[in-house]
Amino acid sequence: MNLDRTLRLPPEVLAHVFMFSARYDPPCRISTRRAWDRRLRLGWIGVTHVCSRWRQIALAFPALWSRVDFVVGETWANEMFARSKMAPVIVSSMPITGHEFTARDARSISLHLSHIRRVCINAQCNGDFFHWLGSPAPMLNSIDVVAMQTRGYSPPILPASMFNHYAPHLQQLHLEGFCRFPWTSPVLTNIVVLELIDTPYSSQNEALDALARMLAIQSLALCRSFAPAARVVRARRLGLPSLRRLRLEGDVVDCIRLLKYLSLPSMAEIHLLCTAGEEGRDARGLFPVLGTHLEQSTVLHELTYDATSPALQVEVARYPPLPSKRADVTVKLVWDANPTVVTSFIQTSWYYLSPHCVRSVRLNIYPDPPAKRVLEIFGAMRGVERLVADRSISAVICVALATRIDGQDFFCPHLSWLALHDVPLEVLEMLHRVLHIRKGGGTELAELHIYVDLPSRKSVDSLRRIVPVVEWHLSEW
Amino acid sequence: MPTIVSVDDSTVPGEGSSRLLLLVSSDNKHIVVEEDIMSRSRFISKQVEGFEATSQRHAILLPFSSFVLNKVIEYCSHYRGYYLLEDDPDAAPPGRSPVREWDQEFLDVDRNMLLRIIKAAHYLEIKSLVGSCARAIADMIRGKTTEEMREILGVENDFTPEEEHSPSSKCTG
Repeated sequence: MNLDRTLRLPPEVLAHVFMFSARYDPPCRISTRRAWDRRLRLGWIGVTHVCSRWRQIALAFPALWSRVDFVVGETWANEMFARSKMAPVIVSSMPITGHEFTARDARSISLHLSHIRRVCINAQCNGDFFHWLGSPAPMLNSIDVVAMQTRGYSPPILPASMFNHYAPHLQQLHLEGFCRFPWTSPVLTNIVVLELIDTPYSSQNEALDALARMLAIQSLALCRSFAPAARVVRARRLGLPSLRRLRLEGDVVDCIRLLKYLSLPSMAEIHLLCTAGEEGRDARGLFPVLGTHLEQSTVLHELTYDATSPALQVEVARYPPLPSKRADVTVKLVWDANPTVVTSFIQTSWYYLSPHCVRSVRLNIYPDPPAKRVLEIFGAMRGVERLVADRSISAVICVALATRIDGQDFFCPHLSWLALHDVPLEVLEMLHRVLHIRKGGGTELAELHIYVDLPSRKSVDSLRRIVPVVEWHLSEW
Repeated sequence: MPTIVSVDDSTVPGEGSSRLLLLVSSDNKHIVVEEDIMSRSRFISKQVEGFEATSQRHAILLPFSSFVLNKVIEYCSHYRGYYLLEDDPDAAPPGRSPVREWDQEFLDVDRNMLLRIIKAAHYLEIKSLVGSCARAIADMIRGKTTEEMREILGVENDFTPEEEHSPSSKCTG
């Protein structure tokens, strides 16, 4: 069914169609039974085989060839580079596509750095693999390179002379698995987003000096990417006027050492994911530093403390701030193999954080901790108003609710909202008795939410006999 | 350039906030439409600017049928007052328009109609409609073999047998 000539699309409209095709139907390798035998499927490039007019139109629009994925193989990649002419190009290479990024591919990129806009590479590479970044990159905006570690090889080094010191539009840099980050490179001056993962460097002072030059930086993430302990102590703090998000991940000592030299804008979010020794002493040094930032209205968005292998995590997730500027924060204890660390950490964090934000807590401690330890944890949470707890400690909570010392509630005296998950029936019966005791004195709970797994519909009746509930929300079995 | 004929002001009332335009299709149907609705068309906007410069109102003759023109007006009416990214060439490069559910239903038409609409949108310089149609056509040929693409869009294979089988001439690398 040939087309009426009046319906032939103008070249620019047809090119528009091809742009969509190029975006949504890129070339790829088709998986076969044999992993090494992956056939190339041309995808949108098939339009160049339809007729000579379509082919000419496709070849006449360089922007169509501006996504060079090395999945298509070296020959095709070079052909696409040539057809893109001087249009800004996005280069990618992901091992999942079955193609391994090679030194020859790297050389192809170096020949076209003059019009590459973005590089996204996930490859096995080592040593001086990235010396191909030696020529100027006037259009380069973003680099995202994950250097997969190869057994027996050293991590790759990013040369300080990268791009021959000329990449004026470079704004985003995400590097993973590199050795020595070249903080002194002048191409970092206009960086807006900097993320370093497993990329250590030699000097913290060098890093701070470089950050001081990055006036536009809005997001900084350093994940296990720190310098060894600094010998030189800096006299003043470093201001990062545009920073919106700071993420530090790694040894708590490294995080503290960097955090105390930074001065953050008032609305900057802090994400901390720290690891530390078993005693938790290192972690306590974090809070005075963190407290200084919180006093300046900086928002603590996330705090994870991982005492590694007896593991403990505390996550602090921020909810919309309350009118009084107190953020409603949830602390989640996920794992506890060392209740001493939990107690110590909670006590310290409460001391520094509670005036600022902590109002509600979620406890999920596993495996079941000794009751004595749990009670110590409760003792550290006296300001909490809302509590969500999971199965392992619901029985202990029942005991704590019933306990009074010197006429005062032992357990969270300001608690007005309690939710218990996966409560066993026998604990439920105990809870019922506890609530009778509390009616005799102490603070009343405004809301009590109990989530119970019932073995059958019949057991609802037995539950009714135990606890006369105001409202039922029954899910399907 | 379109053909422009002078019209009587009484035919096209142009006062107040909802000024009207007279569009004349290739099958000589006269369609009156509010100027606001057609403001998404850069072509029409330029014509209106021309009217204001000469203080004369005209009917605008368009080289496509009333059926196609009504579809375009339906599109413009639906998005009246909306800001669409694709209409701002600086804000959105081609190929980045989001899929809009309404557009999908609107463009659920046969191949010839779809091609007529995209040509009309191109003529009227309605970038968002060109983008939506281009996407719909790209979806039609996505994942198809060369032969299937020819079949779907009614394109004749004009490669010589040599070109057909020569990898270099067909860019197969």
